[in-house]
Amino acid sequence: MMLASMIRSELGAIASEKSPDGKTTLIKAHMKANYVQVASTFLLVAAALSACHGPLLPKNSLPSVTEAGTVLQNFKGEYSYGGGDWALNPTTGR
Amino acid sequence: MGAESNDGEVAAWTIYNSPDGVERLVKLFPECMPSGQAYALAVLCRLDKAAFQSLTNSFCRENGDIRVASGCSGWAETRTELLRQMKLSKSALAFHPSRPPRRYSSMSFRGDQRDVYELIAKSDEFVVCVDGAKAGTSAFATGDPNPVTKS
Repeated sequence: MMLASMIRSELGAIASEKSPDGKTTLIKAHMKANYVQVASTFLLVAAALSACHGPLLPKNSLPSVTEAGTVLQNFKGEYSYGGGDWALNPTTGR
Repeated sequence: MGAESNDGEVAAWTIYNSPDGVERLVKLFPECMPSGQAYALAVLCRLDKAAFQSLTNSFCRENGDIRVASGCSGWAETRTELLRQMKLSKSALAFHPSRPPRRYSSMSFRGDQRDVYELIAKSDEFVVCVDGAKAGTSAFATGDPNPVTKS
């Protein structure tokens, strides 16, 4: 939402801007600079979200259900969510 | 940045997202180790309350606490308390369908082999073996997976 409104306002600013000699060179340069700024902001937001919650992985990237059953059957580690297990073995972090 | 989700959590999440998750978990439950049983129950608690209730008695009849971890703490939780926590929507020990496991590369299993129950048993032996051992000197507390007894 924030990103979309930012793009809209930038495009509005570009549309209303006129170069003194009537050429579009300045506008193009301005647009390029703004796209770079928007792309940088997007990457920053994506990196921040990824750091907080981990990357969003699509459902089809899940392992097979049969394999999951075998893994769950033999699992002897801690019951935890989100990787809280590192605390029990700080040497290896796993 | 924190750590990644373990294989147990990924397995539980995978079965939760399968079309026959309830049947699969009910069938798997008696064949699982304590932590695996806990994951199965936590998922069933969200998928099928009746199936969850039908397994809680047999879970509590077994001896031994469940090793749990959350954030940077790990501890042993009684089975009854763990079941209570699973039912709470805001508990860190409950399965949350809106929160997928945290993995930085792929969801494939990484092959976790660590047996925390065995580690605990070994560290307890270590403390008993060392005369005058003080709390906090066990192999488990220092993170040494291969404790050597010293006399």
